[in-house]
Amino acid sequence: MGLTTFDFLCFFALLLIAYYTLPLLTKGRGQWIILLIASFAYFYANVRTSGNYFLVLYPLGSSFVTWLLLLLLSKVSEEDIVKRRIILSAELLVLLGILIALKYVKLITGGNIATPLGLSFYTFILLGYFIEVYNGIGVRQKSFLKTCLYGMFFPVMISGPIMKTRDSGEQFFETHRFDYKNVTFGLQRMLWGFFKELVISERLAVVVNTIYNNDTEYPGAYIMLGTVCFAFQLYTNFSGCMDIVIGMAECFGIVLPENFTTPFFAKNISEYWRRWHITLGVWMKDNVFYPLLRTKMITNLGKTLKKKMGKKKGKQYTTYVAMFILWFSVGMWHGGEPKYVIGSGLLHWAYIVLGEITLPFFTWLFATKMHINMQSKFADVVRVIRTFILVCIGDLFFRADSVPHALRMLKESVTVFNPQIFVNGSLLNLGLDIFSWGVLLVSLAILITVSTIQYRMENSEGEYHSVRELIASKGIVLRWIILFALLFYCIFLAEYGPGYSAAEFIYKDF
Amino acid sequence: MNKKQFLKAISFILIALFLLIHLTYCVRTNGDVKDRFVGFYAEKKNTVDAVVIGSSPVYPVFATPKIYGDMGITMYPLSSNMQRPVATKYLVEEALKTQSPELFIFEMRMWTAEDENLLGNMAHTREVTDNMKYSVNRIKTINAMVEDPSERLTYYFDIFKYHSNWKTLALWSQLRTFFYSYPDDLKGYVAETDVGPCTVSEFASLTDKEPMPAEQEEYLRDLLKYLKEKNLNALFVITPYTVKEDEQKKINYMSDIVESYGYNFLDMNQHIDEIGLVFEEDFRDFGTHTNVVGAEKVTDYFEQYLKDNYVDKLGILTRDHRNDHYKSWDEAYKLYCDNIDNWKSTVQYNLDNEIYYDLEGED
Repeated sequence: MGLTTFDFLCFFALLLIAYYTLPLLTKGRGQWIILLIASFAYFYANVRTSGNYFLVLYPLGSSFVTWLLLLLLSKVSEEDIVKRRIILSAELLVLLGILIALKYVKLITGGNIATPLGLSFYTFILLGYFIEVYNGIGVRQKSFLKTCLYGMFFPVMISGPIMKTRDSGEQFFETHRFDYKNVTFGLQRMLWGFFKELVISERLAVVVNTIYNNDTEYPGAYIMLGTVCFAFQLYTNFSGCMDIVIGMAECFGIVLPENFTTPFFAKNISEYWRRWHITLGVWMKDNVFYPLLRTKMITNLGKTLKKKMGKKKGKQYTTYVAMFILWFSVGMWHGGEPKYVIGSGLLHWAYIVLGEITLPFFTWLFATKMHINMQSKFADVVRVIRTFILVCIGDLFFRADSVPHALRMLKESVTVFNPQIFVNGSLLNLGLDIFSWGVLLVSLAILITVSTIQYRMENSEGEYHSVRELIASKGIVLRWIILFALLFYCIFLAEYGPGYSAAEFIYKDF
Repeated sequence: MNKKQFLKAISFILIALFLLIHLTYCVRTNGDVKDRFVGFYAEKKNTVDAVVIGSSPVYPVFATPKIYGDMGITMYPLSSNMQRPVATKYLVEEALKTQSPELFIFEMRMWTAEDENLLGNMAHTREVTDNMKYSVNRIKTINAMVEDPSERLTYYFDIFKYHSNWKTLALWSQLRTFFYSYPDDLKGYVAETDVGPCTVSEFASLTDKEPMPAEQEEYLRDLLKYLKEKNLNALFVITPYTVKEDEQKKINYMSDIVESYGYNFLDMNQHIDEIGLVFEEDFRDFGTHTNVVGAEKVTDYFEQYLKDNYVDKLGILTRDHRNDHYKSWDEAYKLYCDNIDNWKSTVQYNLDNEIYYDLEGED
């Protein structure tokens, strides 16, 4: 049951009614049980068509193991480091074991192993929860069912966000009375998500698939166009899904962490990753990078490098090594195939490392030699464009069939010179007619405008913190015109309906 | 949520639903079937004397403006292509919502076919369901016509199918259907000027009988009971065509059923000479649908039939609406009169030059 299906919307509407009416009978208690039942129902609905009912046992089993091991951990004294580590190892072994077995063995053997919905998302959420409790910064849930809700809360099972139970967890078990603002804002956010996914992403997918599936026929500027389209497709698909998920949770009175904050406005790759798939980055830093820096291997390496290269450089290069492992892990999380390891991992590591190493040189070149004001808006725009181009190269690997395929496309994108395709009507052979191109361009313009407003709000201390707040501050006529316009824009221009097979959320498979 | 917020939420939902319903009407696929249904809904309450229900032979064979012009009877076809018999009862109910016809006329050609053979193109089902206004009767029609419940969703909410027609919102012919009500120029009649010569079917004279498909018989008996319960006058007709052997036997069979309920059954294939139909000239597409010349002949015959059997005998359809200043009907008749000679000339031209209907060019 996909998030953008009519069935799901009906399911959500019924759930919302149940969520706010049934607790009236229980004086507000047990509201979270409704979410748990809904999560079970959602998992069930997702395995129903395939008949693989056993898949529900995976998140259930992982939740049980986490709950049991935390129970054992609570009975072990703080000083008994060995036992505590054994319990931690058991948690890592079981949860990561299942993840690796289902995800990577499948990759190696090429077999067709059925995987449960949200495998890596619930694994990371439960692991993060366990590690927080282990480190004494999280609170253990005594109830097994409450632990299940951490591991199965259905909205985040599609593509995240990978929530920290320390920050988001307690909200699940609080009583949430119907709040007009929460529900209306949540629904507006969902609508925005549908706009991104069904109006923009689905149209871009047509262009991207045409070019990437027939790249020998579409060299040069086509590849560049296809890659830029894919960058926007991936963004609108993933962030659109997040808008739906976060908006849905907002309707329940639950605030989930943001996963995107206008990433294409980032001025460098590090900033990009602070704006793109934020919760994965945070999880990886908290649970891979920082623990890695504390390992014997890295600290010893640090000492050695400091001796040889000096304190500053030694520390810097030690961090690069740890970052290599971090980015390798990020790439592996995306599926483990070399194209993901490069496109979503190591290439970005290389960007960051090379960026830092070459920073003094370029500062000297541009500021001192060429007398360019590095603080100017123009310089910022150039940085944004540069970052976007670098991201696009990574996305080319991400979208290509394989690394050799990506390399060939990369080469063909610069060796064939055919900019005339933008003016001679060739774009109309990419699967979209002139009207669809028109809708796409108008929609992208809307997206960029709204993103720009959002970006400015984030970087100023104005009265409003989101576009929704800004709209809410307007009079009812203007407000409703905007909302009706967006609603009907989506209803009429979205790609759905009989005979139309909507693309899945790309990150659903991760 | 306070009272004000509640009212705002309800208002928003109601406005959204209103716009959704009416914009869906606008983007439903345009064409003569939509025009016909939209035209029917535009007819003023209780002004239609007779409603014809049936498939595609109906609208090119009964020149409704001419019937009005000749007799003052307002007759309107609620017909669509390959209309499945299962839809018939629901269309009667739909007609009764706004009209109180003195006579229902049913074209029975489709009733000789197995329902599963009419299901090949779901567009034919949609031509009925997606041309009805939203109502409980529409839901009932969908439930009856679409067997698999999982497939019904896009019928209930036809925006799923038609939202991609958004480009047609730029057309006035679409925008004017916002309320699904706009008069049809020729009152549902479609003037066909193509020619497709054929010969009279040798099987029309058969008197043998062969059971009609079981599910169609069930629908027929159900319809007949319904008509009786509602005390409605009805006439069952077969309009002229090149009937096949098995079809004629089934027609003979269903004729007995209809007459056993006390209703008339008029098989026009038995009256070709009286009608004066020339198969080599009067058909549009080789024996299935009549062209304007054929339509004029059939309409003349049918007017007389109505007079003899209903006006004179039963005393219904007696009111001459030409005296009631039915403006849109007067205009339709004028339009018909203004064009009929041209249409007939085109038919003659096609005949003279042997320009025949292109079957391959059909959808």
